[in-house]
Amino acid sequence: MFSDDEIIKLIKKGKTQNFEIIINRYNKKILNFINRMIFDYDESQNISQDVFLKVYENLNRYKMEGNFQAFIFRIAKNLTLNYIKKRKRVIFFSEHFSNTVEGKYFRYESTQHENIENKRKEELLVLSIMELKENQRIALILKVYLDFSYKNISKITGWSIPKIETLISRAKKSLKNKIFLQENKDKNVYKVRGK
Amino acid sequence: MKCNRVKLLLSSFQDNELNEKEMSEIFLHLKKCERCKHEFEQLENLKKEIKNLNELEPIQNFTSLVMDKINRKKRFNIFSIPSLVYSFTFILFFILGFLINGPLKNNIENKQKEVYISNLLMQGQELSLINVQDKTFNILYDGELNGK
Repeated sequence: MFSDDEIIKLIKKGKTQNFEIIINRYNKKILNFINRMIFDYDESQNISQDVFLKVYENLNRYKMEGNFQAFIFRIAKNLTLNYIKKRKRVIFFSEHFSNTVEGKYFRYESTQHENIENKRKEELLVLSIMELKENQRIALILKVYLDFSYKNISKITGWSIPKIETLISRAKKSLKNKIFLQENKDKNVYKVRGK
Repeated sequence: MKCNRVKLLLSSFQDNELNEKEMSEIFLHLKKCERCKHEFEQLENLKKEIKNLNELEPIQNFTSLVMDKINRKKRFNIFSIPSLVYSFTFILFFILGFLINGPLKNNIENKQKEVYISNLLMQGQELSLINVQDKTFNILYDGELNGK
């Protein structure tokens, strides 16, 4: 299997069709990274297409240092943040001038759960992730979902490793508190009803 | 290692980002301390739940869609012209506009006047030059002047 850099070299020489290999290699990861940042199926599909277009347009800026993954995720991160900023403005105006904000902050299609309890749990997790600050969300998704090392996250985001450490730790703490506090509350409600 | 310190490092421990010594110290602590162990288990559950979130598949023709867009852009890629060329063209038009409205225009008008005067002279007309301002000549026939 060719490395990313070998394929990029061919593309730069004019064999552009090889860009398909890059797309197939990264599209699922990029799509799900974006979707875990915005929880919106349609927009995630659109943004991930834009990511590959932007990557192609900026291939000349890639310096063939063996970290193409960081290069592509940096672009994905930037485009997603741009989208979030834009959406925030739309939501701001929608909330002030009308009451029709679709799904409030996101349109998430949850997995098919037979158990309502599990569905509720998943929705609570999504809502809690959406309530995290953007920087915390980026660091958490890159680490927990994509299993990137702090060093790689640093290459993607440009943040220092101690900063990343703090962002991830705070994000986990915040999610843990919200989810497990809610679970305990639910348990107490069931107990009272049980009596 | 004390509980407070362990709690502080627990996230990095889970992410396998500590040095060997710290990793083994926390590992041993978790074996003994139920509270810290419980906290770590919560973190592990959280990680599992995030990983298990609905995973999307790219739309079927994703690759061909992107490649089509790339090929289309390549065909009409006027934006690939460096910005320097744009700036140069703009400056060129600016200078041309200035020349046409300023010196060039005057030059053309003056030339026309010269031709007009020499035609009149050749016809033997007498002329008076009045109002010489900014190199602009208002030329009137003698006869016209006298008539007024």
